Amino acid sequence: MTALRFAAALMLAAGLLSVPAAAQPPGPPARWKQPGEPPSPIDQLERLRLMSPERRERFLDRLPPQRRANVERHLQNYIDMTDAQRARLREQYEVFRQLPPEKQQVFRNLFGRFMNQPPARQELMREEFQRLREMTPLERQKRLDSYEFHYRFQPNEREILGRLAMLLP
Amino acid sequence: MRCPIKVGNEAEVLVAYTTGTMTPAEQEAFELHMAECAGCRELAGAQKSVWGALDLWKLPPVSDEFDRKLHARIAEEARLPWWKRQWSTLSHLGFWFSWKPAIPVGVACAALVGAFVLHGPAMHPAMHNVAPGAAPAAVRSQQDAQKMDVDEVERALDDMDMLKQLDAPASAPARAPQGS
Repeated sequence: MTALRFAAALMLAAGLLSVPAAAQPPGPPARWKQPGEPPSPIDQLERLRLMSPERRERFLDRLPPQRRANVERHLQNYIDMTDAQRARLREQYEVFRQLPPEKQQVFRNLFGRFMNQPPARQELMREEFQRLREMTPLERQKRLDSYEFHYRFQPNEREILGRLAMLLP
Repeated sequence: MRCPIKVGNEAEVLVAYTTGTMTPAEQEAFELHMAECAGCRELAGAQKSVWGALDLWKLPPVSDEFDRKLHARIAEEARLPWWKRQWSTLSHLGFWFSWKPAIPVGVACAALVGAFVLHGPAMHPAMHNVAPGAAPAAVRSQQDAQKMDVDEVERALDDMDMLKQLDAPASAPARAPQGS
């Protein structure tokens, strides 16, 4: 039975591999990586998560102590998440990674300004950002122009939220 | 994860899933996707049922006469001259049938090697620098470590922390509106 299974899997794999490129349906590129293509940051992070603690230690030894402590803290947060939380965060990160580098930097700067707001205002802004994220671009624009939005947020908060919303897909 | 059926790579994803060649992240994403996608769930279920059916296939029981007939045949063949015994072995259909289970495996291996030679990825240049006799797992591990960029990981973790903070659920009820 094992031999049959093995043969079936091999034949299926061989069949898939030997389909000529022209016969493949058009669409996004194949999921398999090209030779020599470096692993994505997400792949690297997953490897790091699944590594033995000893190997992880050796890898993190390349960092100076302060940066290492920062990485260890963020990594532990990532490890402690549930599978669903990790999957959601990975999806959001992939969307963020699709932004051009200069827009990524704008996003980081806006986040810095967001972090400078008082905690109570941060929470309100966070809720609003979640809402904007779920909207289509048209709905988003309507919301940003709405009376309620202007009533709830101060000018600097509106600017941060508006510019962050412009960076959403 | 985008639906493999819509993308058109469902066969590839399904084979990777059932043979366990996906990365943990891909497997997790596919399983989460299956929870929401009836089409993918159905495909994965069908594949599982094929494998289950192979498990259920039982060989017919050996007859009681088998041992007696076998011993009689061995004794009969032992009486033949050596050259007749060799010829009998080679010419007997049983010789070929005894290889029957290995034939599909062999053909599949040949097909796989052929497909890999024709369509497989080119060897990574770093592989040429590997010391002869080095274990493949060690080589992989060495390459993995080399390919992992600690700065990139750090940046990714910082960015993910930022996104997490923007995504964190509200821990307190919304405050009263504050006008400008």
